[in-house]
Parts: sequence; structure tokens; C-alpha cells
Amino acid sequence: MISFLLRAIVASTVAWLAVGCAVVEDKVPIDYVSQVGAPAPLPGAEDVLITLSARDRRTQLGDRVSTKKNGYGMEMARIVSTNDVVDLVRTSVEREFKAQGFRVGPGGVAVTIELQNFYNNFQLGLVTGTALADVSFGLKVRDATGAQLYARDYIGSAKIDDIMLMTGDNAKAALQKALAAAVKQVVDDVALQQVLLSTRTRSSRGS
Amino acid sequence: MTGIWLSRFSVVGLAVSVAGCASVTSGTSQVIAVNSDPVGADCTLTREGHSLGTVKAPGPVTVKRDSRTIHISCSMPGYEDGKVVLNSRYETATMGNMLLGGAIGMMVDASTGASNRYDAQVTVPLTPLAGGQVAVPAPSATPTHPAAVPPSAPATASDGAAHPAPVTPVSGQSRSRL
Repeated sequence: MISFLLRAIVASTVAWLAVGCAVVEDKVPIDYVSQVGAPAPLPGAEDVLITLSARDRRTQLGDRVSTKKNGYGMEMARIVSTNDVVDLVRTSVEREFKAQGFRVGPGGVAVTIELQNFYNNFQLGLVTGTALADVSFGLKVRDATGAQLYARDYIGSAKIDDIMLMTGDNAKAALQKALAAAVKQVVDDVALQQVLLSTRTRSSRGS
Repeated sequence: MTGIWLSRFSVVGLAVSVAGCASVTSGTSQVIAVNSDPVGADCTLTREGHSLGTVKAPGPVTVKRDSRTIHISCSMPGYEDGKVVLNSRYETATMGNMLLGGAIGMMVDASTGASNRYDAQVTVPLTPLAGGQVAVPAPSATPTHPAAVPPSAPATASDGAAHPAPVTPVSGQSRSRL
């Protein structure tokens, strides 16, 4: 009886310890934490209707957002996001477009986001590690005929030094910073704003 | 007595010489075979905004192994620019340090970048430009937003960084860079 109890205790302890094990898949929710202040709406932006869509164009490691590593730097279990990262990028950009005064909905000028990368890599150091995140996406603006009016790639990267564990929480922190850096480029893209505002001008001329 | 010391020196010498298994077996650089679909595109490889090389696909580019991401951009007349991102993975040859090299070997591999690898081959797909593109007036260069900065000045996160990326406005039949 004592032997049975002892085994049960040992098994429970091992199971409890293995929860944070490098071979167990980590699932983390990733959020958009804006680095943009509260900008004044762009004059005329309220007359521009944007139809925003996003698609996954990742050719590598699309099944994860990072990979755990052990103390030797070896890749272990996947780190996945509990939410759809493609939709996360779309809603992040949508939020900033709305903050600039643009309207977002069906029937407007087509803005397509193509997610190229959403991944954090851990770098092994002598004592501590570093989280290196990269969030990249292309953004294309097309008119009603399908002609491309504007295209640009936005690359956001983030680096967090002195991490002790190469696990989901640290990957999440780096990815959120990289996402915010990439989206901030969209907000700061004057040429994009002018192209979007020009669609309002053309529609006004046409009517 | 001399024999014992000699054998000890031999062991230490062997340990030092094999330190960094991946550095020895795989090297600190690698070749990436860049292809495009269709072939003939001009491709540029960048890492953190710095150019690693250009090639007319298909062709090889030699890069230094590193843990940072490589961005490949290919362009070809009549096609939209194609993009592929290569994330760094773990070089399995580094596991040899478990047998030989030990902690010294791992540190050597990590510091030289030899513990990383990129995919050896990559194909960048290109999409034909949509036919019948309509001429659109080029936007003026006047900033309309007080907080806006020119596209050439990348945004920067507090702990992160943003790197300049190609800008491709399309105006009628001709495509020019801002």
C-alpha cells in the first residue's frame, strides 16, 4: 500500500514538473500593444472607405510562432499562438487606420495584408539568452479594377536580452514588440496615407 | 611518468582541436540556392536592413550563419515583387559537442554562428501584374499628418527596430520607387 502511494506521488510530481518541460508544446495568446500615441485624424480620411483583408504568405514555420530551446540551444517543442496571428495583424492595422480617421468596411478601396513572417528565434548566450522576433508583412492597395496603386513591405523586429528561459512567455514579449514596430511603420507611412486619400479625390471627381 | 603527461596533453589538445563541432563540420557560412518562379528574377538578400548579396535566380548566395532572419526580395518586369523570409534553425551538427568539444565547443559554435543554419534552397514565387492597370495620379510628397515621417525614416520600437523596406508605388504603366 505504501509502495503504491509512493509511486503515485512520484508520478504526480514528475507530471507536475514536466508541465514546463522543453518537450511540451507551449501555447501563448499574442496581443497587439500599440506604440502609437493618439494621432489627430487625417483631414478627409473619413471620406475613405477601406476594405481590409489579410492572408497568410508564410513559406516557413507557419505552424508556430517560435520554438522552445533547451540549455544546449537545441530546438525542442513548438510555441504556438492561441489566436490567429494573421487576423491579429489585420485587426492591428485596422485599429490604427480607424485611429487615423479612415472608415473600414466592405465596398471600399482594397487593402490587402500578406503576412510573410511571424516568428521569434532564441539565441543562446554564455549565461543568458536573447529573444529575436521578426514580424514582416506586405501591404497592397488596389483600386476597383484590381490595379495595384501601392505596395510596400513592413519589417518589425525586436530583441529582448538576458532571458533565462527560452519559452513561450519570452517569445510572446518579443513578438508583441516586433508587431508593434511593424504596425507603427504603417501609421507613419505618409505615401500610403496619400494614396488612400487620393482614392477619395478620384471618387469625388468621378461623381 | 612522461607517457602519462604526454597522453594528458594529447587529450587536452584533442579537446581543443575538436571544439565547436559545427564550426568544423559545417563551417560558419553556408550557401543558399535562390530560385524564382519564373526564373530570371533579380533577388536581394537582406538581414536587419543590411544587404547580404544579390543574385539573378537561379543562383547561389553565400551568407554567414546567424540567428537572425534573412529577407529575400525578388523583382522582375511584368511581375509583382516576390518575398520570402528565412528564419534561422538549429544546426544539428552542433549536437556533436555532446560527444566531443563539450561546453567549449558549444560556446565556439554559438559565438561563430555555426550552431545556426538556413534552408539550403528557396524558391520565390512571383505573381504577374494585373492587366489593364489604370493610370493613377502620383500622390504629392507633402506630408498630411503632423506625426508622420518619410518612409525612408524607419519607425523604431523601444526595444525593437524597424528596417527600411522597398516601397513600390504604381502609377500607370510605369513603376518607380519613391
